Amino acid sequence: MTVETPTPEVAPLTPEQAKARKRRGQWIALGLFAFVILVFVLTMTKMGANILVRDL
Amino acid sequence: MDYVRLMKPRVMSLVVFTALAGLVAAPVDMNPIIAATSILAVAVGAGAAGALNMWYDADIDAMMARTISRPVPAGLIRPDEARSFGLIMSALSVTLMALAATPLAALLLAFSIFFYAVVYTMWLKRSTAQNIVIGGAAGAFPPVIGWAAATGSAPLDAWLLFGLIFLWTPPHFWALSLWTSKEYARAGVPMLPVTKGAAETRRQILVYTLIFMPFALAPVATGLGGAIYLAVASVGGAAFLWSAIRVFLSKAGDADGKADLRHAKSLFGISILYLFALFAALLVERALPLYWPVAS
Repeated sequence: MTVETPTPEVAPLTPEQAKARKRRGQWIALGLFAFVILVFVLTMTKMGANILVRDL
Repeated sequence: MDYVRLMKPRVMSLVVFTALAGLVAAPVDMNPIIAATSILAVAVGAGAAGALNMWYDADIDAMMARTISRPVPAGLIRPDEARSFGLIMSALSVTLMALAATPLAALLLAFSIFFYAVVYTMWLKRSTAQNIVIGGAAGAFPPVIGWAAATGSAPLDAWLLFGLIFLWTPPHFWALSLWTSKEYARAGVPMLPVTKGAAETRRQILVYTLIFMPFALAPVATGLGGAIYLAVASVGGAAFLWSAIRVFLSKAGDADGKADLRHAKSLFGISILYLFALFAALLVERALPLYWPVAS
């Protein structure tokens, strides 16, 4: 016997809301990408000098 | 754009400026990438604290003309979204500071966000007329954070900059509250003019200004500020004091003192200009560098 999962009723988004959500999503993606790049650059900056002075 | 407004960009700009001054005034050379990231972390942290403030204060913001158009009371951003945004940005800013600079800078940044969002916004603001006196500490942390980001420590000179903003906040904010007291009263916020009246507020503005004036000169005595700083602190301080005396002698905030509110507005403007000028002088002296010591 299968039990059907009830689907919650969700009011459809207006075109403006959908547009705003898409724009928000794009900004979050951009922000996350920038954060990743920033952490990479920081790591390189902090490690860079130390790598050059390691024993060979 | 609504999320930018949620982060109180005007407050953020002053926070960034004072943090930058603390960072530059610290006696060490800093890698520009690490310095820029530290300032970015302070900016994001200030914005996060602003977002948490707007989330919690949405009910009283909706009752005041000055704040009714903020994104949450205006219905542009849902309260739970503002809260989540503030929390995520807080975590992000502290993490970024810890990665870029020093543990002390990250700790101070976390504490200042907590102090503004929890101690000031959730507790003091609605419970005591001394709300902005104690709460002013939150806005005073940025130069110490900047200094700690550069050096990993927070010596006396850094705390002098903290003291500058801390003692500047009461006369600055109470000048504003003299013409917004009716709104604060309607919203149930116990600002000084609401609980003790306009006359007592004018008196306390003058008292705090008199305490603040010599403190603004203290960096000269320790050697942190040089000749340019001394000139700016003296000339600007005289203008600030004169403006505070005018407010004290006026009827600003009284029922029959509507015309005198211009004195309060003038003090509010001069106070912003003065704090900006003090930190700009420090920046110019250290960054250019144009530092000529005054103290022997």
